[in-house]
Amino acid sequence: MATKSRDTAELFGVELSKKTVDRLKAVGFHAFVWGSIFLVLLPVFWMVIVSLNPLSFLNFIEDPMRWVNGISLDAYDTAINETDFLIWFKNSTIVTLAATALTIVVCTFGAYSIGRLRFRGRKAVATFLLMTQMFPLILVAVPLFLIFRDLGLVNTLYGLTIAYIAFVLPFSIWMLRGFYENLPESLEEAAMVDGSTRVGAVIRVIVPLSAPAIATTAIFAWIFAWNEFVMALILISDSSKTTLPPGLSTWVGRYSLQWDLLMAGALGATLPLFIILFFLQKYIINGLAEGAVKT
Amino acid sequence: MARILFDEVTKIYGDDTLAVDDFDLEIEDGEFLTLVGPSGSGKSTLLRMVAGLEDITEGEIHIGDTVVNNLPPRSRDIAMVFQSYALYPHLTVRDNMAFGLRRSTDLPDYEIDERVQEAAEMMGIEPHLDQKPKHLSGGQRQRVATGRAIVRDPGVFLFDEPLSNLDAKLRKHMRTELQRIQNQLDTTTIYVTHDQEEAMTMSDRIAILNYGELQQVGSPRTVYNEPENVFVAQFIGSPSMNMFVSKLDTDGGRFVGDIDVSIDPDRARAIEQNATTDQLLLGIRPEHITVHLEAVDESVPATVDIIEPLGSNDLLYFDLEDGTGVEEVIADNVEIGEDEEDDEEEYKVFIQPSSVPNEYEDTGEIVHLTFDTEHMHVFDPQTGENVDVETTAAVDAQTETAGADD
Repeated sequence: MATKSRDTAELFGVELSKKTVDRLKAVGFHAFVWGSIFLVLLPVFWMVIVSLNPLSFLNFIEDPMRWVNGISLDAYDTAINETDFLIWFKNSTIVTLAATALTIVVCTFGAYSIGRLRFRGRKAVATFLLMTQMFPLILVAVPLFLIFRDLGLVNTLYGLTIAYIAFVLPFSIWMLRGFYENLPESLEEAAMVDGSTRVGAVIRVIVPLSAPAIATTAIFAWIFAWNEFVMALILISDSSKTTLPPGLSTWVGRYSLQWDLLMAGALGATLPLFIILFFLQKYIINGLAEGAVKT
Repeated sequence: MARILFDEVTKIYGDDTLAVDDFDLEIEDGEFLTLVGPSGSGKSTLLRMVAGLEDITEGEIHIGDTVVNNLPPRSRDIAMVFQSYALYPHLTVRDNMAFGLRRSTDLPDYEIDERVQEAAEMMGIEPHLDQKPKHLSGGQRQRVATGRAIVRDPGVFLFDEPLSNLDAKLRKHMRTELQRIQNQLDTTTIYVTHDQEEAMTMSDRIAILNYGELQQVGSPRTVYNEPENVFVAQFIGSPSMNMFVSKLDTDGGRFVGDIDVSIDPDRARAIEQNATTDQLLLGIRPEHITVHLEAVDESVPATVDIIEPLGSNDLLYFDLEDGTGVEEVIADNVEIGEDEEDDEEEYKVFIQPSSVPNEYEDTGEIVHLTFDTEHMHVFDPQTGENVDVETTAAVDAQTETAGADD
């Protein structure tokens, strides 16, 4: 039998030159990847489309030109100038920034203590933290409200920040603790022999090394605080202190569902998340690639 | 003055594990002392207590004239090289080495840079100063770790098995380098290792530990030639010392048992006085036995088990007829080292290459052994002690004993 020449390969039973097959494979791969991206981001694209001109999906498909003709930035204009959107945005930013920053500080030292230092009841504390994770927010919302009211923390941004920190800490500490347990002890010991106090060793050696893990914790805390709805709704009744999630929810039904306004607001609320994630994501990847945890 | 004094130092861990038991030792300024022993002997614990990384349960440790029990590591003027090197992964080599100086001194930057440069030259790592540890080989990292310690110019160097992670050739090379550096800097050094060969080649004195107790301390030659007990005798020297069981016949001036040898009557009497039993252990190193193909005066017959070519000489393993195992006579509380405990008796002797034909291996052919009784050590299996008065007298005169076993 004649042998196949080296330059051919098979694709779905059809014999083609190798170069063609490679090209087709590459095209297929890219088509698949970009197609998936498109599908996943479709809702976001739709949000943008609607915010510019609130047409129904069928109308848009039938006659895209009709959509193009009616484009305007009115929705954004209304959101910024005629509603409380900017106030809510400001409040969300304050609470989220504060909660994330404080969570990182407390979490780093807390996780280090549980993961590294030897003291009685260490395991009990860790287990206790884990147990608190079992309670969904809704369950503790009412008791929490009563406690906060008695402490005078209701209707303040401080109160909300504290509540967020309290909810994020257990999981964050648990995550970071695992990380710290795996770091070799000799690193702090070397730093202490070299002239640091234990706290100094943690700040100068351990923290820089755990940057990727801390960044992950920061993202987790940020997303939680920014998106949180229940506590923000319950604890804050003053309209000047409302955050974005409860604020945006008032638009549903109140203005008889102005879709373009709602979408504009939703996009405005989501944009910061995109930006933060974009920057921190690079940091995490760099940290992992550098092998920051290598000994 | 950076001498180090251990004064009745004891360490008990929280779950009641006794790691170090009543340890006494004085290390002189500028001395290179090695703590050696099997795993779990307490040597690393002792080192870490000097460093301040472990609490001292009882007793005192002095560095110079200061009692350091309650001082944190940074205040003890020490530098340490860890087994895993413990380099800071996020810093360059230069910053790794400068870390200590920046933290514990007020030196200006240019001076710190100078000292880092000097130390890097000494360790041969200059080309790597601006790289990060993960780009370096194991040997290079080891040098950086040592450089980091040197640059601090401390009163004491502490080494915790620094060469264990290197391959054999590099290890030998680094041994010489470390020794050379220590001679040059003349800094008091405590070096911990489980490798007795390392201990022998590098130290001014060796302190041998087992289960937290000091067995013997002395110069390498002393602990090799004059071991005070069975543990030291078997631990030091590779291949290890042969142990034969024989009964002392004082009047006849002979030992009879695994091997039959004659000894000086005065010596026999002295041994009899020191020993608690007459069934004794005779320790003879492989280089102090001679193999003859024909029977000679005073020779003992043996069969050849295996012959190992080692290069410049061969190692011949032999078996004795009707041997008594060391296991049978030794008291329960006497340590001879875990490696020896469960092995069958393995007797070894050095021979000139090919002086014994390979055909003798495992065939029952008899060879004849004579023993250099001048270099023979006699131990009491009930106590583990060396009962040969001549040697112990010399030991007392030459070394500093810690007194822990008396």
